[in-house]
Amino acid sequence: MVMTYTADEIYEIAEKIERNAAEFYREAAEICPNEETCRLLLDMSEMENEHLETFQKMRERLVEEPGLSIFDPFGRSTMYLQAIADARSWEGRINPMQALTGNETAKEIIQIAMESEKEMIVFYVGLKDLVYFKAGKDKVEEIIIEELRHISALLKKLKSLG
Amino acid sequence: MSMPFNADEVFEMAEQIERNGSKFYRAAAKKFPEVSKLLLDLAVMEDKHQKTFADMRAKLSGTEIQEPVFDPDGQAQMYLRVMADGHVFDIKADPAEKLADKDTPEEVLKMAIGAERDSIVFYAGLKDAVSDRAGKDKVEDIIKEEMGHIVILNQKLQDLE
Repeated sequence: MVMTYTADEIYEIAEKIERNAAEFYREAAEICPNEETCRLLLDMSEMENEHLETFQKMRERLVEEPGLSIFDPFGRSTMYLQAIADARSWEGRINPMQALTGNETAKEIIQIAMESEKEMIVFYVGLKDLVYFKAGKDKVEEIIIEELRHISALLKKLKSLG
Repeated sequence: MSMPFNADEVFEMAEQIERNGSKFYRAAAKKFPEVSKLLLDLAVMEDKHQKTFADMRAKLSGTEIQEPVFDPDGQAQMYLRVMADGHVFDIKADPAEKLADKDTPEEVLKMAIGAERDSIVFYAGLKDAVSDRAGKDKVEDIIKEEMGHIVILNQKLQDLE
């Protein structure tokens, strides 16, 4: 059976993704054995919190202006988001925290973070497709670009660790 | 210091990703006849994407080929470079070889979904680097089609499970 999401549910997932990511980076910074990497991870955590706020505001606007719901006449984008959610469940990494044992090296933490960033981008590409311009399509696009930049910063750090 | 990309290199990379995609789907169709029709259809769609990128590359003028892609702060180039260097997206690896340890159609469909997701991440970066004139909208269309591939692959996976 094909399940579909409501706009509220989709924003709730986006908020959860950002909350998990911010928490992941904070926890990762605590266990990370490399001081410079810790700082990068804390910066990332701050940025994910800002994204969380953006999604919260977009979701609040749905209540004020229900007309700004989602545009998905053929249900393709919600089916895509469902497929992405299914893929996350069989990969067993719904929450990036599940992957942390506390014994990871700085390199391993960065690799987990990069995979999580990729997952976020793949989800937001679908989300952006659903959102009306007036409801903040450009904001979702900005968040995608910021997540892409996170991957660059993480890889740069990975390389510097040798 | 990394050399900046020029537009020609960026489109060449996109073409290679699509070539890898078609090669992977054709090899997988041969190995798993149960899902061969779907995989061959996807291979044909990746061929079309490859042609779109080849056309976009061909339309670049002599000057544009050598010029960096539109990227005023250099950020887009940075993540295209890091994605293509093998850590995030290994375009040099032979896609058919990755099938060696896949024994069921379910495994190959999951692998295909992973590869489509990687393509979407790369094209999201590519779209940011390409100017409107060079075909930003075409990259966006290809992203949407790759999203459609994920839906089709996931539906097939559910049918099999």
